[in-house]
Formats: sequence, structure tokens, C-alpha cells
Amino acid sequence: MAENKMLRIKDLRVVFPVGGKQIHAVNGVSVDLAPGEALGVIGESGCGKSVTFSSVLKLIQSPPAMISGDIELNGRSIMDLPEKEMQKIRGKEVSMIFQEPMRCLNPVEKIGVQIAESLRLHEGMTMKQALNRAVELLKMVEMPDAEQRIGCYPHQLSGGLRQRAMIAIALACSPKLLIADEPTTALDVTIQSQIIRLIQKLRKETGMGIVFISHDMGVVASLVDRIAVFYAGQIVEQGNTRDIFRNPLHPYTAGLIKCIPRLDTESRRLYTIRGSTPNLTTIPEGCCFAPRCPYATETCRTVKPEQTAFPGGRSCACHHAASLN
Amino acid sequence: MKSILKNKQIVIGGVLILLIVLLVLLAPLITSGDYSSVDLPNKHLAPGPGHPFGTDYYGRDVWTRILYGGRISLSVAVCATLLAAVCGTLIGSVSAYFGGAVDFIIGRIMDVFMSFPMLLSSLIIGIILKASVRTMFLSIGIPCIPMFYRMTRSNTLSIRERGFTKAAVSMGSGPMRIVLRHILPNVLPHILVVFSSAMGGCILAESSLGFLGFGIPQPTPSWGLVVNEGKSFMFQCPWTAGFAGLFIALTVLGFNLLGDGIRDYLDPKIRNSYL
Ligand SMILES: Nc1ncnc2c1ncn2[C@@H]1O[C@H](COP(=O)(O)OP(=O)(O)OP(=O)(O)O)[C@@H](O)[C@H]1O
Ligand SMILES: [Mg+2]
Repeated sequence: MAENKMLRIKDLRVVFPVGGKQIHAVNGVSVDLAPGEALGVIGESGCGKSVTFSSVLKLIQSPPAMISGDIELNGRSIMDLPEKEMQKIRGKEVSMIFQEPMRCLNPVEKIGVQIAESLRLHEGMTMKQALNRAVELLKMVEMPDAEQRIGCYPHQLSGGLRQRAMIAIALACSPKLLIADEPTTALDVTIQSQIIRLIQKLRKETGMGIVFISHDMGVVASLVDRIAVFYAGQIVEQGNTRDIFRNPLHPYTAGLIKCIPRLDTESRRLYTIRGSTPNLTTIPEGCCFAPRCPYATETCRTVKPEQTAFPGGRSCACHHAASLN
Repeated sequence: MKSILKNKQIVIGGVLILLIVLLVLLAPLITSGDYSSVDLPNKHLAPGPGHPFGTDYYGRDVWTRILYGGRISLSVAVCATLLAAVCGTLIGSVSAYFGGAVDFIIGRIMDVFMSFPMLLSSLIIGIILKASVRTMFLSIGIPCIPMFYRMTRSNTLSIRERGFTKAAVSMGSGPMRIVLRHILPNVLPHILVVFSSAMGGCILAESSLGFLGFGIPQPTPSWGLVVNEGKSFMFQCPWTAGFAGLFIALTVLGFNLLGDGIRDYLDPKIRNSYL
């Protein structure tokens, strides 16, 4: 134990058997998080971000999925914890908010009751206490007219307000870690920035750690201390947000940064990374990004690049990481 | 709530059922109250003053027998449907939510049930249980369980995949809590629809069993029994079986209309609130 980590994922692998084939959704991911730290997780659709962090709450059904590696929360491995113990962790120590705020609320239950549920579950509050706390929580997430809103059904709220309600539910029991799985993807841009600012504010107030999953580099930049870039079920690069933006080591990261539309340059068209997302049914011999990489050499196609440490707590899995800069 | 009154099926069905229930409840006030004493000199009287629906082979007042019979028939149907609804819904939701071997075994048992005609299963269960007034609802209700089971199971399967059950799991809810708090309340509208048509089905089943002579034993009148007694004199005095049949038909119609109406009424609402 070097230092105390709130979350430590070691060589996580998740394989889904689907119709005789195997989908290698997560392929040896190692990442950790200090208490109160904010980690940004970036990557294209389907690269295993959700599967990796759903595993932290053991939300992936296994079987059928085959999960190996180790996940520790506050130094305790959860891999062999029984379901009953996991239920105590979920929502209490670690909470998760999801992409679609409209689908994640029960349509036939009032917002207040839904927020109260985890308070009653984990804190043993009575309904009355829990509803009072629900109002406070809704105020904390800056819901207008909080007293009235606890009596609303989800379909009476707009998308942004629903996401605020979701956040209130997630934060009800003051978890030490919040996993936000693309919480703003389904929202329009102004609401999106409001929600980001809200999460920023809540982080300052509560000191909780955050894993913020997104496929948009621009969205996470202002929010997180560190970034992990996912590609094909692996982390290809991680490091401090500043360093990654200033000086990306991996060609894929560099491509992602170039993809952020900018208003201050003259370029006429948006940059895209050529090629399409990798096939997860086979693990390539060499670097998984090689088929799309402009710098790929023979070595890249045949030898798998190892995670190499770089100064400033960075790491990158690329044969050319040192030479490209 | 106002828009529910715009649905003609619900209004007609509801009024029909309400009327019949009211008549049946008020039976002691609007009939002689004597449904069993034999009055042979006055047998087979045609409908007329004193006997609005005439009298039967034993000279008993048919109007009285039908209203008191309705008490039995309706309460048997309510008990049977409740039994089927509670069992079918619980088994269906648990079976679907847990899946795997449990689901497979329960599914096959239900398949076996469904491969018999309902009336035959009722007969067999009735004979095994030696059905009396008290246990009649079992032989009618048990064969209805698969109706509720199938509906609940398929709805549970689709609701289980919706985000809010996943969100509830991620907040630490256990499986029973999720089934009871999150899945069943969302299946409830569908349960109401099946409940209404099952009520109609159970009334018919009770009548059919009575008609076949396997219903509620004498002398307690039930609609099935009244039809059964009337059938031998179908031509001398059609009113006995005729009026009883009419009550059965109107009640079943009422419940079917109500069920269809509820389905139509809830459908757009369900779609809206689920989006
Ligand atoms: N239950 C499952 N069964 C089979 N395959 C699955 C399952 N869940 C995920 N996968 C596969 O695993 C891969 C990674 O999925 P994941 O949801 O983690 O992607 P993601 O990075 O979160 O993408 P997005 O940005 O679209 O949310 C995908 O190819 C997906 O098809
Ligand atoms: Mg995802």
C-alpha cells in the first residue's frame, strides 16, 4: 500500500459471451482514485467505459459475463463480497448516475418518495424525516420550488430538472464516490453546462470523489483533475488534465483533442479520426489502435505496447509515445 | 378523471356492473327474501304481478333466486379473480425478475395448465376438492392464474430492462424491494385490464359448472344453478333459464366492456408517462 486509495481497479477484464462469440468489453484496465479526486473517463462509444465503472458496483450480471481482476474500495476487495454486502455499499459509499434521466426515474412514484427511498434504506429514517431531507437535497441541487417538486411525478419535470433529481437521489446518503456515467449527454448544451457547474459545486461542498464518464473531451476538461483515455476496453493514456491537453502522448488522445470543435482557428471542417471503432470479438496481436493510427509501424501491428510511466504521474501505452513529442 | 367519463366503454360497462351489484346488494329489500321454500301449486307461473320473473318448477320466485344467486356468483367470481390475480402476479413477477431455472420450471408448469381448457381444469380441481360454496372459488380461480402470470411476466421482463430498475439496484435496493416498489406498480394498469376480463370469465365459468351440474350444490342458488334447473323446462317456462342467462350475459358484457375501456384509456397515458 503506497498511499490510501478510495478506488483501485487492477487488471479488470470483462468478457460477454454473445451467440458463440466473446465480446472483450474490458481488457485489462487498471486505474485508481484518491479520496476526493475527480477522474475524467474519455473514449468513443462502446469502448467499455460504462462496463468498467458499473463493475465497481457489481452491476454487471455474472454469469453470463466473465469478470476477472480486482476492484478495491477503501482497501477492501469487492470481488468476493456477497450481494447483501454490495447492497450496503451501493448508494451509501458509492453512487451512480446514468445517461438517461428520463428513464432512470420510476414513472409512477413521486420524486420525493424516490429520493426518500435510499435514505430510508441506508439511514433508517422514517418517511417524514426522509421527505424533509429530500427537500433539503433538492435545494442543494438547485431545484426551483423544492417544496412543491417533491410531490411531482417524473413526467412533470423537464430533462434538466430530472437529472437534478437523479443527482439528489445519488447524493442522498452522502457517498464518498460518485460515478457519473455521461450525465449530460441527453441534455441540451445550456442545461449541460448548468449540470456540470452543479456537479463542480457539489464536489467542493461535499469533498466526494468523482468519476465523470463522457465521450466529449471539452465537457470534462473543466471538471476533473485527471483523465483516463479508453480505447477498445483498455486505458491508452492517463495523466493530469493539464498535461493531457497540453501534451498528449498517445496519438488517439491527440486525435480526440483535435476533434473538439474550436472557434478560434481557421479550419473549415471538423477533424475526425479515420477508421471505425474496433471489433471487440478478437484481441489484436499488437496495439489495438494501430489500424487507425497515422504513425503505426510494423512493431505496432505485432507487439502489444505496455503501459509505460512518464514523469508527472502519467502513463501511456504506445510504442512511439516518447518519440512523437 | 374527467376524461375517463368520455370513454363510452368504461361508462356503459361501469353502469351495467354498478346496476347489477346494486340490485344484488338490495335483494332483501326488493324481493320476498324467500328463495328456497317450495310452493308446488304455484309452479311455472309466467312473469306477472308478485312474480316479476315468474316461478320455477318448485314454485320458487325466479326474481328472488336470481338476485340471491347473484350474491353467490359475484362473490365467488371476485374471490376467484382475486386469488388468480395475487398468485399470478406474484409468481409472474418473481419468475421473470429472477429468471434462470426458477423461471423455466414455473413457465413449464403454467404451460401444462394452459394446455387444458379452463373449464376442464375447473372440473378436475372441483372434483378433487369436493367443492362447496366456500371452496368453489378455488376451482374457478386456480385455472385463471396463468392469465395473470403471463401478462405480469412479459411486462416485468420489459420493465426490468428500463433504466429505473437499474438505478434502483445501483442505489442499494434488494430484489424483493425492486419487484414490489418498482415493477408491480408499473404493471398495475395491465393487471386492472386482465382483472376485469377475468371477472367476466369467472362468472361464465361458475355458470358453466353450475349448468353442467358441478357447481355450487343445492339449495344455495347461484346463476349457474338457476340456469341448470331451468334448462329441463326450457320450452314450458323459458323465463327461468332465460332471465338468469340474461343476468349472466349482462354482467360478463359489463366486465368485458370495462376491461377494454380501461385498456384504451390507459394506453396513451402509459406511453406518455413512460417516455
Ligand atoms: N450485457 C452485455 N452483453 C453483451 N455485450 C455488452 C453488454 N454490455 C455491454 N456490452 C458490450 O460491451 C462494450 C462496451 O460497452 P460500454 O457500455 O461499456 O461502452 P461505453 O464506453 O460506455 O459506450 P457509450 O459511450 O456508448 O456509453 C460494447 O461493445 C457493448 O456492446
Ligand atoms: Mg456508456
